[in-house]
Amino acid sequence: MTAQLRILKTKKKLSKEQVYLQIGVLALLSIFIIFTYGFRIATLRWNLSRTELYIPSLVTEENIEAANSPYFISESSIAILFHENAFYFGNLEGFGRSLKSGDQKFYIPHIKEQPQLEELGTNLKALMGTVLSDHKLAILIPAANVDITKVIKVVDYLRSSQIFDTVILGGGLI
Amino acid sequence: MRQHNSNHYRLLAEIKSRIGRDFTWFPFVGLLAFGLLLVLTGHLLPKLNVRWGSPATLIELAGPPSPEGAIWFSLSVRDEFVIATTEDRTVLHWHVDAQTTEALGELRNYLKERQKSIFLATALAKRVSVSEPLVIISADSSLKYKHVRPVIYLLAQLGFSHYAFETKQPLS
Repeated sequence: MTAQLRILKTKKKLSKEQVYLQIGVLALLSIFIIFTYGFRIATLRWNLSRTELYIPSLVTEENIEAANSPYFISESSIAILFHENAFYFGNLEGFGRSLKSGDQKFYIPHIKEQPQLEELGTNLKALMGTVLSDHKLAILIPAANVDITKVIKVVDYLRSSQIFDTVILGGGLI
Repeated sequence: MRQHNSNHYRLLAEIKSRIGRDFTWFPFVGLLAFGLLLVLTGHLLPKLNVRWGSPATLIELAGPPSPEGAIWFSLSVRDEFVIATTEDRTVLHWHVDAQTTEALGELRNYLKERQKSIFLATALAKRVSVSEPLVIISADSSLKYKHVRPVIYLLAQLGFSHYAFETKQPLS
């Protein structure tokens, strides 16, 4: 009777431990899987890129030799006003004299609030042909309420379409 | 005497049974430690992704990859404040209507410190790069140009020659 009881107890004990063992192994594996995914998410590098812009530096007679840039902002530099409704562009001279006058300025309206980049590109290429300047520099002046995503897209278009090598973001004019 | 012996044997049997019981739990502690070590060394040694947890939602645009060693911070808008989150997760903020660089004192100090540390590292490494340091702005897609403009003015004041907006590389 005692021997049978002990066998029964042992059997019960062994069967219990087997269940615990399986649960334990499964729990550990689950923890490792969760940790592996968690850490992978935390360490995985995103596939990121950049749209680069430049900040002009003031060149005076003292530091003109130190300034090693082939780009200079002059009256013939192209300025593009990125308004919420349209693009206004022309050379800086035209914008410098009178902002509201139509002299030496061109206008491309947005269609359904979408900037017409292809049209802007075609017109800018035509304008670049007439400008007596060998540098490809544009000054983009977005209006205060223009979405930053649209600004980035315009900058990217101006650079990727190889119309301009350098784009400078400006402000304060509109 | 017989009773005493019987108790003694029963006690001995109990001790035997207790000692003889399999301690199945102890390898799990070792296994857990080994597994954690494996996971940590496998994943954390390649360095944490500094962009992880950035509040900015980026637009998809193909371009050159972001370089290592650039000064990075994200910009987003929340509750009438422009929030700048730096690489070390420092959160700086100023009011959305701020249009001058005076309101961006915290960001100015942060950028100055980063600039200083980069220049020091460059000097110690005995290398010169005209393109450094590059500032990468991870601008949230909900931002307007007026939110970013004072930051660009600040970069110009601090003598940075170029900066970049971070975008997400398209999947295709």
